[in-house]
Amino acid sequence: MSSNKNPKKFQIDKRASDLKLFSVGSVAVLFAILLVLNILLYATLNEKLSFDTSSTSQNSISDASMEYINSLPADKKIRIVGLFDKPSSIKDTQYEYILPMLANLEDESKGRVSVEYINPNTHPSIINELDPNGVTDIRSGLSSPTYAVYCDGKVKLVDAIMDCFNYDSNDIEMNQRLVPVANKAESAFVNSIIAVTSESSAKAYFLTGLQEDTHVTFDNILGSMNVETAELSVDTENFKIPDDCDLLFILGPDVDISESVQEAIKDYIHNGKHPCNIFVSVGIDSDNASETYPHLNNVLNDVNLAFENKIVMDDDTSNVISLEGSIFRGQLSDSYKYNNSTGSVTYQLSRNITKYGNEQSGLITEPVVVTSKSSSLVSPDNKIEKGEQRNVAMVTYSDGYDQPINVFLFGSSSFTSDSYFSGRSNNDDNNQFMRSLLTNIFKTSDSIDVPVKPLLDYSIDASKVNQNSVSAISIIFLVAIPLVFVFVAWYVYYRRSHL
Amino acid sequence: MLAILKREFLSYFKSPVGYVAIALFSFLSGFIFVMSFGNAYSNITSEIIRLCGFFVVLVPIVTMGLLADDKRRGTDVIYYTSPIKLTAVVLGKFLAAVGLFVVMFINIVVHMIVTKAYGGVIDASVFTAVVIYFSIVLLYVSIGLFASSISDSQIVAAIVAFVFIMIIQLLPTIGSFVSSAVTSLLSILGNPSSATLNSVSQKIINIFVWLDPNERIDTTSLGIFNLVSVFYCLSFAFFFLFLTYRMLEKKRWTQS
Repeated sequence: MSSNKNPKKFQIDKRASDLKLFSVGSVAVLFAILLVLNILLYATLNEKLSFDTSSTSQNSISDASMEYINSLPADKKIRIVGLFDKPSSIKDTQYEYILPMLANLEDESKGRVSVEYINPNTHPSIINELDPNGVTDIRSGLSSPTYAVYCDGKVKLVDAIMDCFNYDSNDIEMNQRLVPVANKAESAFVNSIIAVTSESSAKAYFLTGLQEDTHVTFDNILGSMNVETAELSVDTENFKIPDDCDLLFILGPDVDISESVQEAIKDYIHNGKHPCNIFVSVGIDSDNASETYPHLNNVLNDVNLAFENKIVMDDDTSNVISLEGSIFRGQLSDSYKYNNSTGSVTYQLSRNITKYGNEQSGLITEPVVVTSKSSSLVSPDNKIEKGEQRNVAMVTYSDGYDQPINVFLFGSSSFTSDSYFSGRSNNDDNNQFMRSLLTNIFKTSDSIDVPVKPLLDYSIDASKVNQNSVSAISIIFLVAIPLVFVFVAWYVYYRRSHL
Repeated sequence: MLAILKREFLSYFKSPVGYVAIALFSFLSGFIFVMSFGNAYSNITSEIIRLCGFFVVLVPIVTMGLLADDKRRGTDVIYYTSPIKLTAVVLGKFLAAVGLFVVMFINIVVHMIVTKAYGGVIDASVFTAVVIYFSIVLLYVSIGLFASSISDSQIVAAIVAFVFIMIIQLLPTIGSFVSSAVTSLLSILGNPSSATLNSVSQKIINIFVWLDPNERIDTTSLGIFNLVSVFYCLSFAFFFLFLTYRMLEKKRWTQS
C-alpha cells in the first residue's frame, strides 16, 4: 500500500540499485576478464613473447645448441639441478648470464630439459637421487655454486663460477682475483648435456689374465664419463687389441705378458686406433716382487719408458707418511700440478720409473710424479742407492703428430688399485688426480663448438672521462637542471599568489 | 578530449606542481646517471628501470589534483552537465599526466646523448626499456587518476595513490609474509611434510611475484623484453581507467 502512496520514489530507488549493481558488476567482470586473459597469455605465450635484446645474445641459446637439443628424442628427460637455493636477485651477479639462458634452453627444448633448484642442505636426498653410486662425488663440488646435469643415470657437474666464464689470466696471476672476461655458460651446459645424453663413443679395455688388480673404481669413473668399459683376456687366441680401443689399462699384473701380447700391444701403439692411450701400473708387492717383466718392459721401452725392480724411498722426512709401510707423498710435476687441489699425491711401494733412452722424434717423455731431491732406491737384495730425485710416474706422449699417443706408467698401485681407492673418498688426492687425467683424455670427444659470448659492456670511453668532465656532468644534472625547475616552480607560485 | 588534454597539460606549467615533479625527476635520474658516469660506465636501460622505482613518489604528485581539485572547487559539475563524454574527461586527464612523464623523459634522452658522445652503448635493450617505462607510467598514472577520483582532497588522493603503488611495489614482501602465515597455519592444522609446506610456500610467493609489475620489468635490464608484461601493465591501466570512469559515472547519476 505504501508503494501506491509514493510510486515515483519507488521507481527512482530501483533504478539507483540497478545502476549500482551494473557498476559493481561491470567492474568485477572486467577485472575477472583481464585477470584470466593475463593468466592465459602468461601460460601460453610468455616464452614466445620474450625477446633477447642484449647486444651479446646472452639470454638465448645458439642455433648449434638448439639443433642438438632438438635432435634428441622427444621423450628424453634432462634435469639441470642447481644445487643451491634459486637466487632471488640475479642483477650484477654471475647468474644474470646463467638463469635467463637456462630458461631459454628449457623453453627451446620442448620439454626435454627441466631446470630446478634443490639445495642439498635442506634436501639431502637429492645427492643420492642424482648420483646413487657416489661416482661423481657431487658433495665435493658444493664448495661453490654448482649445477648437476642429469640424464638416464649419468650426471655431470657445472660450476657456476669456474665453468661458465673465462677469466683474465693476468688478474689471476697478479692479484689472485677472478675478473670475468667472457661468458661460456651456454657451452658448459650444452656440452654437459651432450656428455650425459650421447651414446658411448669411447671404449676402454682392461687387460686380464695376468693376476692383475681389479678395476671397479675405474669402471665407475669411466661410466660417469660416458666411456664404455670391457675386459680383454690375454688368453684369447690370436690376441689383438680391438680396433675400437681408446684406452688400454694394464693394472698391477703379477705376471708378465707373453711375447705375442707384447707384439700385439706394440702393434696397437704403432698401427692401432689413435689417439692411443695406455695406462700401465706396476706396483710392487709380495706376489710380484721377483717378477722382472721383460715383455712388458719391452713394450714400454718402445716408447722410451722403463721400470726397475727397486722400491723408491723418499729421504725428505716431510714427504714420509709411513716409513714402515713405504708410504710417501710425491709431487706432481709442473705439467700436472693443477690436476688436483694440492699438487701432490700419495704412493706406497713404488717402483722406480725411468726414461729408457730410446729417444724418438715426436715423442716426449716426462715425469708425472716425482720424489724430493733426495730419495733412495732399495733393491730386492736390500742395496740402497741414495741421493737424487726419482720418478714415481712418467708419461710419453706425442705432441700433434700423425699418431698421437699417451702412455702413462705408474710405479705404484696407489694410483690405480681398488684396494687403495675403496677406503677413500673422491676428495682423495690420488682419486682427484686420476679423474682429472681421464677427463683430459676424453674431454674432446662429442662436444659442439658453442661460441664464447662477450660480457655486456656498458663502459664509456675512459679516456674522455676525467675529473673535469665528471664535475661538469654532476653540476649540470644534479644541481643546475633541478634548480632551474625549482626556481621556475617558485616563480610560478609567486606570480600566482600575487595575482 | 583534446581540449581537456590541452587544458590539463598546460595547467601543470601554470602551477608549481609540474615544475616540482620535473625537478625531482631530473635530480633522481641525474643522480643515477652521474653515479655510474663517475665510474666510466653508463647503462641507460638499468637507469630507466631503476627510475620506475621512484614512481611511488612522482606519480601521486602528478595525479593528485587531476580530479580531486575539480571536485574541491566544484568545477567537476561541468563534466556532468555539458555534452562532453566522461570517457573523454578521463582520457584527457590521463593523457595530460602521461604527457608530463613524456616531458620528464627528455632527461633520459639527454643522458643517452651524453652516453653516446662519450663512446657508450645504446643498444636495443634501451628502446625496450623505453616501452617498459611508458607501460609502467600508464599503469601507475591510471592508479593515481583513480585515487584522485575518490576524494575531493588532493592530499588524500596523493596518499591513496602512494599507498596503492607502495602495496604493488611490496607485493613480493607481502607474498613472503602471507606464505609464512599460511605455512604456519597449515603446520598447526595438520602435519604436512616439509616438501608440501615448501611447495605451498613457493606457490604463494610465485603468485605475488607474478602480480608485481616491477618484478616483471626487472628482466628488461638483463636484456629480456617481455610483451606479456607490457600487456599486463596496459590491461590493468585500462582497468583503473574504467574504474575511474565508473566513479565519475556514479557521481553523475547520484547527482541527478
